[in-house]
Amino acid sequence: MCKEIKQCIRDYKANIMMVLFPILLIVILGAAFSGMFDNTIDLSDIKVRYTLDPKYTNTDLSYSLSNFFASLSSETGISFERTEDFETGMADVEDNICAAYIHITGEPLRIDMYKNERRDFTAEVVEKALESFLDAYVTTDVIIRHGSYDTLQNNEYNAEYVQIRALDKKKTPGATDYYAIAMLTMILQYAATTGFWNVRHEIEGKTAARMLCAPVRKYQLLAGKVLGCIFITVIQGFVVLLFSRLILKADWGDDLLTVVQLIISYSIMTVSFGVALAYVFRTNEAGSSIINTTIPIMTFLGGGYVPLYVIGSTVLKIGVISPVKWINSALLGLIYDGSYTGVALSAAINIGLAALFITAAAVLSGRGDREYA
Amino acid sequence: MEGEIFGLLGPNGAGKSTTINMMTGLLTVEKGRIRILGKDIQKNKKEAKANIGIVPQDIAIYEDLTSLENVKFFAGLYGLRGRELEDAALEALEFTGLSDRRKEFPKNFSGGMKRRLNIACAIAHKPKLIIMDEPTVGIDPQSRNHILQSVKTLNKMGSTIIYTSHYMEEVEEICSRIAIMDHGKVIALGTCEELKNLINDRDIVMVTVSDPASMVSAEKIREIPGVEAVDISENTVKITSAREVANLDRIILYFIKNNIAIKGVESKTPDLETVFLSLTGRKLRD
Repeated sequence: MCKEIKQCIRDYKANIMMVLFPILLIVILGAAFSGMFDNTIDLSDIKVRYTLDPKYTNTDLSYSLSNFFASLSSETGISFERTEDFETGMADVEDNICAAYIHITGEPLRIDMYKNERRDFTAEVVEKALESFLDAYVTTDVIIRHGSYDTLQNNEYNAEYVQIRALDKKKTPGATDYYAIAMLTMILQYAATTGFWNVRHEIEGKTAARMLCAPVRKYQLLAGKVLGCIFITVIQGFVVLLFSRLILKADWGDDLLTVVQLIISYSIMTVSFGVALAYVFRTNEAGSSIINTTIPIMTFLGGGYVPLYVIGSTVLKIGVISPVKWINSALLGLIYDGSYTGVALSAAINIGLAALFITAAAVLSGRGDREYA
Repeated sequence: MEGEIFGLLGPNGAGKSTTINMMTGLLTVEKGRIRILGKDIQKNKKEAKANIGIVPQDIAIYEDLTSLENVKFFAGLYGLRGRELEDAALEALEFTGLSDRRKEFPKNFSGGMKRRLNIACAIAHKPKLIIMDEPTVGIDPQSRNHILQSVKTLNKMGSTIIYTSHYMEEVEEICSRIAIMDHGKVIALGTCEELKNLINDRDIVMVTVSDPASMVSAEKIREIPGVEAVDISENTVKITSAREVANLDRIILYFIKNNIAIKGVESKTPDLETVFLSLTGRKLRD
């Protein structure tokens, strides 16, 4: 095992690929796709005009509307300005001075809203809030008309039909956060090549045969090799994780220990995959072709390049075959929802597959003496 | 026999490597038994292997480990640890003349130095039996002499050595007994003198020609009564012939008739190469 670690540390090219490459990709993809992950919309500096029929001055409606506008304004930054006439309000909409114009008039009450199509989304926010206000207002009005006004008064009715309460925004990953996870899990798949070449070089360099002439068993050599490769892979992964967390400020959540445990289980699986391939395919070309084909496909299906919801539901369904999908989902769930369900599932998949691969490697390494002779 | 240097000779495909691989436990023995210093390789694999040091034909070392790390790694497989391991590794490097290169990586070594490191990795754990499979292939004369001296010294220090080589002179120089193998079987076994005596009823005639010897037809010479083997190389034709048949005049006549100028004729006593050729019908490098 110590020998494996020494050899892996001295393999500068592999270390650069396993550490520098993902860091570069996190920086590049994080910058390139930052817009795709930006869920915030700035509503400050948005203006909405309204006119209120003078006959509603100093009524419940005017008080309620004032409260509603003030509340919405303080939470979103949208400013509501009263204008004197319909023509001015409409002109402001047409001239793109405001996002919407609300015209309140008539008996019975009639509210018309004119949206600025150029600011459709902002106008829609105002429209939805206004609809909620009206629903509550109409309901209250009906109660009053049917003689239950006292009841409402006794309950400290204060004419606030809709209150805008700030909700804690759901924690979501930014581009750097997302690609820190995706690139780390992608590069850890290449630990399969570490496992594969470690075994193949031993066999082809005849050092495997030399070792087997010593009084050690094949499984001991296999165990040393697998453990050494896992150790170095975990170290490489840990460097990427720390760099992305400390320098690139990627969010790895509060439970770093669980994140590391999950990464270790994943590294065990990928190294075991490579080691098993070295015994299944006894030529370098076949084994390395399988690895080089499998990794990009699994990464894609795991959302390593772009989040799968961007591509479509079919790919999202096929993604279940990729262990990358499971670990990415588990890490995202852990970091952003505090959920451990995916962690347990992903760890079980990783360890289960690793056990399968190691068993295959152990069985196949015990056969075919000619391979070593 | 314990304490000897035993030579194993045979052309490619004779079964030398297969025999060695069975002795070291790399290949399963399908018939018969192999005992290494009294331990059955199949029943007591671990104990039997612990007494063996193998110098493989292919240089089996790690280019990305230093000389010392290489020797320590392989010696460590035999159970050496700590100070004992360090001392044993340094001793092996000293023995093979590489102690001043112990911190260097073999990728910068010459072929001869790599071969010596290959040996150091096999002897650090002080095995009672050292198996050397063509340890001098492709190296310079200086390294070759160093290795041959090392083999003799190891033997004097108490190790039994099994030595295979394509170089007859090496085998003649260092081996106390020799087995000649062909088609998986030992066809002759004995000391060098005993093997040479197997063909003491034969004469060797060396004819040196001025033209390239490729003009000479081995088949035509073999048609001469008494001629058993003909070996042609560069400007020399080596003819092995039955002693009781007087055929030198006919041999010389062949060269005259075919206008091949003779520069010299020499009669030689049989060497190991001749023994090998006579017994197998093939040259060692065929």
